[in-house]
Amino acid sequence: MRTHKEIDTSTGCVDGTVSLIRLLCTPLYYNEMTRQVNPDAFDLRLTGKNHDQKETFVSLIRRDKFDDDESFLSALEVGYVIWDKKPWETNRYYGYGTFVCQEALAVNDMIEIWPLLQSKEYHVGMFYAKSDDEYYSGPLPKDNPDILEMLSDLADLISDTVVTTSEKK
Amino acid sequence: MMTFDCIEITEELPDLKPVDDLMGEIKRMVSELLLRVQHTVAGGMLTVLLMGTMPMVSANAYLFTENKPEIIIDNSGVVPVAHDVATFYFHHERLTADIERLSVLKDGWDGNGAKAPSKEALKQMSSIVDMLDEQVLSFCAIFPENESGLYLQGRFPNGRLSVYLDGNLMTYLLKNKGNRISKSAVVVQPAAIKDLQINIVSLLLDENA
Repeated sequence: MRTHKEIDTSTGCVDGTVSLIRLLCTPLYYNEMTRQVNPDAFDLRLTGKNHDQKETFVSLIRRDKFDDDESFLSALEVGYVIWDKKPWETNRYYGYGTFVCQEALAVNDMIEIWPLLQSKEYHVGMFYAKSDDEYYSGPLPKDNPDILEMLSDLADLISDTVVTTSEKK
Repeated sequence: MMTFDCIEITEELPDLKPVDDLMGEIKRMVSELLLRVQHTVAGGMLTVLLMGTMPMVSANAYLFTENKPEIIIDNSGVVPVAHDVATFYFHHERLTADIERLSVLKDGWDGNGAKAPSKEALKQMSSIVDMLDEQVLSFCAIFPENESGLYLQGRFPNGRLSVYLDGNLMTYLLKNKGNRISKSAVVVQPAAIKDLQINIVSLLLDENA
């Protein structure tokens, strides 16, 4: 059985009807002319001071925690630069895309969306099952056509829903 | 598509820049060009290809001639010119400019430690962009990948294209509603790019695909 220390299993996986948001942290995640999202927006990364910590999930935001778009946008300081040295203090984002949980689950069987032990109220995690025993960590192998397809499909899922800073009122 | 015997003249006009009256500007420039080269063609079509420096305005001006050079640049002619003139080669130049911008990216471009695209991946992408048709490129965008690679993504009328370049090899996937073609560990060379072009046209552009 796959388990992960970051998953809150107490309430089961996220319901398929939940609306979720993927924040886009740089203009390089979205092409405004062709209205396409960079597949990298759904990849797992290497983080940490020495670039040696492997992400194990893609962070998503629960859309239902905000009353409306205006309250959500006001909760973000939207801009082109993200990830100040102290996360969550001055993070700014280029834009975001929305989707329904079950739409992402339908993309590929390896996708699982779980509540997280950290930041339970607003965040959930998209995990990628590698086998019956484990999840992927760190950058996914895009030289595998099935993985490339999955990332592209996820990117395409939100491509038509993206709201960018230029559209923010 | 109608074809004509044609003489192709290429001359670089470095002072081209975006103008409100693009068609009027092209007509004026082609008239001046014809006077300079003094070409007259009895019958057929004289094609003049105009290329400018950045910001790029490239145009293919089709000239349908009988007794003397005459410029027809509008949608009522036998060739579709008004739209095509403004966008011919545009997408090739757009993506080439994108490659140039990505070549100066630094590590951490995502604000979280992503590696800048490698020279090898950029070179691979340039080769692909140079060989794919303008029509194919019009549906495409280039993105950086967080481990020094690049993506070429395409949203086509009939489906999607995903290309991943790791600086060494290429992996790609084309799919429409009923079909899927994927290849991995492909060396980026002319034969492979030509193969990709053929697959794109047949699967993603052909209305009967």
